[in-house]
Amino acid sequence: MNGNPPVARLAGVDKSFGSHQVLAGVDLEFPEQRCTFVAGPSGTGKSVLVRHLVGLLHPDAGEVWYRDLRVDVLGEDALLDLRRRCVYVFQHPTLFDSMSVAENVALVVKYHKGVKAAEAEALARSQLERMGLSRLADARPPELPAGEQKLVSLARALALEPETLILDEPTTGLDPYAAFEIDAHVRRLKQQGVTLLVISHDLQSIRRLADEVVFLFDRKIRYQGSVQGFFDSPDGVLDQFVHARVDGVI
Amino acid sequence: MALLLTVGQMLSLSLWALVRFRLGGRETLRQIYETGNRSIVFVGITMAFIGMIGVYELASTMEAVLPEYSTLGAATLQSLTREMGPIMAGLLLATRVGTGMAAEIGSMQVSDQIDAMKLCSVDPVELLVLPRLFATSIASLGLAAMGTTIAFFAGMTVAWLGFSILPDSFMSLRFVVTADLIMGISKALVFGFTVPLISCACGFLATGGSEGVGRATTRAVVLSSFVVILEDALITYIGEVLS
Repeated sequence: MNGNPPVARLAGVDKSFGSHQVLAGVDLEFPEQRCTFVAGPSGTGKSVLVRHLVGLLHPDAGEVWYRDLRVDVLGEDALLDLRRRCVYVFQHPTLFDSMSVAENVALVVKYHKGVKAAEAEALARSQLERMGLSRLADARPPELPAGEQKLVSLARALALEPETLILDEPTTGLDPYAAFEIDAHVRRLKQQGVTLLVISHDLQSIRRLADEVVFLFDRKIRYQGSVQGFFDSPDGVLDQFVHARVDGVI
Repeated sequence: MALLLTVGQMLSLSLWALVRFRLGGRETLRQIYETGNRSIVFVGITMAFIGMIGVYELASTMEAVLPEYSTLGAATLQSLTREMGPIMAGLLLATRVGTGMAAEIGSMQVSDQIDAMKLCSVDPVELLVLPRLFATSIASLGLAAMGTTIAFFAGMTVAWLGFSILPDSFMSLRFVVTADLIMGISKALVFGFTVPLISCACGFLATGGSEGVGRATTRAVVLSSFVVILEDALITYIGEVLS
């Protein structure tokens, strides 16, 4: 930890789906204005873990905090307010196919900021312009390649001017250029002081962007600490993950 | 149990959205077009065959039992108005429209679009369910009226060509009373409300990718058809008791 106060905290969180336990007694803090990468093998519950922070999932046991708000007991109205400040961007673009790119962004602005449709559309277009996506404003999401769809969903999230941004595997499945473009936006946000939680397997992105790494394995936090410590860890599980070794427990 | 809870939750959220005047006019009109206009040919052709078969069977029975046909047209119209028109419209909506709703919402559910709506402060019930409830109720009423008319005229054609009953004597309103009309309209409205409610709930409960969407769709058509038949029996019973 770098001394920044935690913006979000999980304390003793358990989560199961049926008989399958995904998280067991997870204690974790995410420091403010830092870029924390959550890594781990596929299916270890990384998305499950961060979805608790915006109230999309509720723990079976334990507590989830965002600043002074206890998230796991909040009602839908209070969650709306939280989700304006702490925005979650899904792994899949989750854009609405029946709307244009500008309308997708405007919808969020309209509901979150309570402005009229015309004003929301203008704000949406200026957000797209800031991200260099003006040319896509009138396109429909299915017409766009995966990389541009992810950029649009990032633009939609940023239209809310969040203080914390959670990105779920933002570069997975993208070509290197599109991945680099996403990373560039993440870097810019980091410089602006936005707190970032990024779920990713992408070791290059971790090297380039992370201030801190959390490694989730076998329902628990296996590692939390510096990037260097993550890559140099003597732990066999981390070593296998970092060096993509076939032999091992993963 | 989960389905009942979801249906209850959707009902209360829809009412709450309605009280706050949050019914989207444009989306409701689009849904009326999707559910109503796009079902016209399907419902029209099906009801024409039902009218023809029904009149043929009824006329054959009358020929063997009475044998005279003076009440054939009036009895056909009464049965279509209070029973066959609304229930067939309801069942056809369940198969054509309900499955589409369950598949659409189910796909959105398994691809995280519903959660994305929640994260965008967009109430999925307000945006997806409420317009469909209104639109399908209106479409159901229109389709029941249209289906009844088509079935009646198709039956009249069979009566004329098959049993030499002239259209003048077939076309009789004497059995149809206000209570029959009220019952027919009530059934059409209730079925038009039930089908999207159950279908959307099945969509919201979809899990597990495309297989889950398929299961939700099947569940929607089976449950909504079953509930339409139960409601039909219930409304008929209440109507009989009241009259």
